Amino acid sequence: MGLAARALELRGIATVCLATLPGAIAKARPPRVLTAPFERGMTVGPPGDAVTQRAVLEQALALLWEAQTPGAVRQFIPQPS
Amino acid sequence: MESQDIESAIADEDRRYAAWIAEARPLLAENKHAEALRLPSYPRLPVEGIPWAPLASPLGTATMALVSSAGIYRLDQEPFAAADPTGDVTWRAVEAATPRDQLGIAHDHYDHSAAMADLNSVFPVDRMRELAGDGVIGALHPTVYSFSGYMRDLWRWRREGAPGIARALADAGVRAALLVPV
Repeated sequence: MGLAARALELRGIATVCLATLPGAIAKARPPRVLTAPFERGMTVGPPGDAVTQRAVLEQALALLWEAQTPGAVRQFIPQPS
Repeated sequence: MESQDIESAIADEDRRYAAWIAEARPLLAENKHAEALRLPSYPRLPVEGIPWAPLASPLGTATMALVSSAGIYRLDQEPFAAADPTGDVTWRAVEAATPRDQLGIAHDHYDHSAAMADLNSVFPVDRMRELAGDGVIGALHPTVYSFSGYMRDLWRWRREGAPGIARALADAGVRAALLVPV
């Protein structure tokens, strides 16, 4: 997915990329990455857990808005329930 | 680069990939991926710098695209070649409004049980629509771009696949995207 991020950025499209493992996507160096601690196969969050899924997406979008320099990597912070 | 140089660079990439995949194919067929990538013939993909497009408008007015590598396709489209040990570098345009029962998964390299229980775990169309409804983003782009993230010809993906998605989104005027790998 890192190569897709790079292709989009070159076309003027700002991207934020999710990842389950910090190292998984590092090689292709996408510009903005939010890592979340879920198993492979549930990148956005566990099935049926709309609250967590939404929190992941909101934090990814916040990174898209807030990141100022290429190579920004942030970890998902679970919300207190 | 002059077009002649580009052609020669592409031919060189193809040649090096062909040499490696000939050697790697039996290992890939046995799921020995790490060994295949450690072969001396593996042509590493050079990655220089980090491209950067600033967000063009505040999130609340931005049309966001979703790009997924979970292998999702519409059942009337050709499925990705999931069983091919060299993978698949093609992509599909799938309408975000496609009913769930019209979508399939073609990707043999992750556990589908979460996705089968709730596709939003890897393909968060419902969550993105909720965010649009609540004004967090302006809108979800009506077309989701989908590919099957297991692929071994990364050179061809970088040359043809990924730029094809980028071109389609740029032509549609999209300036922001959420990328969800598996």
